[in-house]
Amino acid sequence: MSGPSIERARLHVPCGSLAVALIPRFIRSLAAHSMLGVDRAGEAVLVSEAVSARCAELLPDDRLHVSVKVIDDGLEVLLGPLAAGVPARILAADHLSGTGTIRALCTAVDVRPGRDGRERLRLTLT
Amino acid sequence: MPGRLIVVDGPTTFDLTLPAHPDAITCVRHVLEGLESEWGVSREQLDDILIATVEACTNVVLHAYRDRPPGLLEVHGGMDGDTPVVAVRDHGIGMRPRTDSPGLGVGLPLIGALTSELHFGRSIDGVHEVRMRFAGGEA
Repeated sequence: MSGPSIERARLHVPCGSLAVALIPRFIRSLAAHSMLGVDRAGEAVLVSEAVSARCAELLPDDRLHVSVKVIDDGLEVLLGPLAAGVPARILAADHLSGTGTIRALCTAVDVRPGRDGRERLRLTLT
Repeated sequence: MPGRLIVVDGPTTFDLTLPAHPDAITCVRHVLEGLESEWGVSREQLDDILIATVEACTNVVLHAYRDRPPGLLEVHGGMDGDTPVVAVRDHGIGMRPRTDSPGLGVGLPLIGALTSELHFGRSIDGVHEVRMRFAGGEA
């Protein structure tokens, strides 16, 4: 069986309403090219909506790098680089919002420190 | 004018990077569908932007890497005042006339008809670029 037609993709967008408008569409279109079922693809979109909304609240003047890797059984989404502590704030804000969508729907959530002292938030959906 | 876009890092500007594969074109179209309210363009204007951008992306997939393994397809967009601007870039050989084209040859005339300004060239980082400006304001 051949691999996915789109293995990696990136979106760089200012946090705010444009991110809220574009990031879920970006994730939806890549989920369609992954092995995720329809329900999980829909949940990937819910996660992306939560992430973009939290970033719009927490980082109104920043730009967000979203990198997506289509893996064997789903998607790996990498957000950042972000200032140290910001990924934890995103997760905390998501939890405080009452939904906790990110941790509830992702298969794995982890924060990856970079050599530059900045951090990446990695979300895996399978 | 060389360079990527006149507007860079503005609140309306985005950069999208994908492999130059036919499936990427549907992804570009789906993402750009979200611009209507964000850019304040009418549905008719957005349709022009989508058609021209998809045509430019198709040209990258079909022609820009014809002598080498497929590389990247980049789409950059933003508003220059009230004028939508989209640049489609490739790291291959750009769009050159070819006698053995698998297409119908209507892509570039169509892009020209839908844009108010159209530039082909290399940006300052050496990447081939098609830059399209569209009529601004309410249609």
